[in-house]
Amino acid sequence: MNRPKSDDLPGELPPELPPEIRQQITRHQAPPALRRRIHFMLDQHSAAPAAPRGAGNWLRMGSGSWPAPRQWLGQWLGQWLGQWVGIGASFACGALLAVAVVRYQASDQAKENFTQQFEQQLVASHVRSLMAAHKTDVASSDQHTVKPWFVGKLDYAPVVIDLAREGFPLLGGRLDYVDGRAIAALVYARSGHVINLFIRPEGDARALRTGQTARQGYNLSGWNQSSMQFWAVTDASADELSQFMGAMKLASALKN
Amino acid sequence: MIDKRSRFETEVLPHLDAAYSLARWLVRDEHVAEDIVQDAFLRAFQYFGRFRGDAAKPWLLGIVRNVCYTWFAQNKRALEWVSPQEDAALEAPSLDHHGDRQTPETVLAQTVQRAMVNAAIVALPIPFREVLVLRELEELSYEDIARISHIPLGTVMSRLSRARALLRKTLSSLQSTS
Repeated sequence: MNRPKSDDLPGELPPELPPEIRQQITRHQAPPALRRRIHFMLDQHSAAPAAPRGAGNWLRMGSGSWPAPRQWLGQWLGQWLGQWVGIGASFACGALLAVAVVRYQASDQAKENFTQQFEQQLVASHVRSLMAAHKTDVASSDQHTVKPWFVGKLDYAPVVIDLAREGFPLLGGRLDYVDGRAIAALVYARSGHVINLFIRPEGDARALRTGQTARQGYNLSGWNQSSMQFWAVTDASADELSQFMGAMKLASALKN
Repeated sequence: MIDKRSRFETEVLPHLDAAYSLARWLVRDEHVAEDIVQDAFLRAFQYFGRFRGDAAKPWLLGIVRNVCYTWFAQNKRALEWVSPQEDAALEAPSLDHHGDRQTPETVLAQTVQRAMVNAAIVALPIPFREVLVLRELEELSYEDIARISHIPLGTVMSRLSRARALLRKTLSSLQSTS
């Protein structure tokens, strides 16, 4: 164990494994669903508007990793600044302040844009779940199978209720990415239509509207309950969506 | 942004199998491995602007390995997770890890020999499994493994020979009982 650290390796090489053992070791292949998830995530992170995303990244990465802000500033202020850490730091403070002020003053217009964009992402996620034949990561009508599946994948526990008796059988659950964060998506069926129910904690969101809207022919409904936010997206009719929302609200109220 | 995306797709995405395989061997759970790889790719994409090397594979595997260890820490797998300070205590690791979830049954669909080899690796303590997988499956250089595992080159060597010896020992005891 305490072999001297040698820069030239020969002479110290550990004895090789016989090839007949080596060849037996399984090299796992990434499942296709994972590949799709990663492509989807890249779509989400490439398509996002450049400025706020960049600022957000920078804020997140700022703690504990020096090169990141320097890199980021470098793009904007030129290479030479990178050498002047002191100046760089003061610019970083300035930039941080600017970002904070801009964020603080976020106008109603920005909130409206954000809401629109968020709803757009929900619809895109719904459409994608239908197209890619990747409706669910965990396919089960048993809420006691679906709920535990989310444990460890999210930092919150979504409400999982089967609404088969109300005419909306649970098909399963899925982990999705919306607004740059993992979100729980539950999938329900309604006579040939699919309803995606997205759930995340209330504290998360900025100015998201509740109530019903339509977007690209899909119906959306948002509501808050028990400090969680819910959005249902579906190609079923607005009436059916209202019924679903009613059933879901009632069932989760009874559960609490 | 477009450029970063396409560069990422040509340089990093081809190593998805390697990333998944490493995560799978480390955490020994396919669902957790998928989440870890997705998380690692997200981080890799965010940090990709800073990546200046030409060897994307060890860079990516380093991120995957770190995400795995974060997961170990969060899930308090005290039995699994061994800090570098405890390295010395690994001189004589016990081999009776066979009560593990991934017993040979799950692998037995293939040949018995294959099942035995894989089960024997599954039973290795994490630090040994890690260097063994990086070397035997991913065929990385000793220097890359040292960087990925945050250990000196000499430790890579000693862990690797220890891992191989343990593997052989477990295999021969498995073979003698079957």
